Amino acid sequence: MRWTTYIMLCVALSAITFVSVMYVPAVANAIETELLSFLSTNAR
Amino acid sequence: MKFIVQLLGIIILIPLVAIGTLRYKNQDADGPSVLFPGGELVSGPLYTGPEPNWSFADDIQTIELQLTDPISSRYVWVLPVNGRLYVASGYMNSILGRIWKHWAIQADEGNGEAVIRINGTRYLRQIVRIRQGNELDGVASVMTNKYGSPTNRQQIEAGNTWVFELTARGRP
Repeated sequence: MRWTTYIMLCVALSAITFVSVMYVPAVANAIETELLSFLSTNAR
Repeated sequence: MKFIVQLLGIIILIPLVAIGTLRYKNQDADGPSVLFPGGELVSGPLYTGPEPNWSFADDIQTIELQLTDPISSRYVWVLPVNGRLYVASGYMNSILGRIWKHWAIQADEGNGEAVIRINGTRYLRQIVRIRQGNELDGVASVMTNKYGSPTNRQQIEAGNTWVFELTARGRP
């Protein structure tokens, strides 16, 4: 993939991620739950 | 090789954007989430009665603590000792602690005003750091027994763990 195309893809994915987390509560809750589970499992 | 690097970049980028967005989203929320600090505590009745007997907090694991300068909130352990209420922040002599436990530095250097929320009720408090004194024996004991986080008065007085008392505003 050309780097310009790659950068555009990264920007688009970032924007989609940002909008999803900000405005879709289920997405935000799922990510936070997964983060907490990960930290609970791996943190001493 | 180029494809692998690009793929790795996306795999790293998306979670970072998600975590950053979560933190940004929560910064003005009514209270903290489990992982991220929140904003001002605005919901829940404001307690205006006589100073409570804080023994009811013996069975409570965490409370919401909000500072007013700057306005931010987080969950903290709660340490009721002899009718008085304390909170603590560990690892303060480590670099990680100084970064992670930024609220304790803000509490020590700020205007001393705080709001706590326990079981949905808000209490206006004065947050005062306790650097030495006999009361630290009781605080260390509660921290060790209630939370399984071994500490003692010497560690607190050495600055490894910072202890704050939450008094009623206007009370010396």
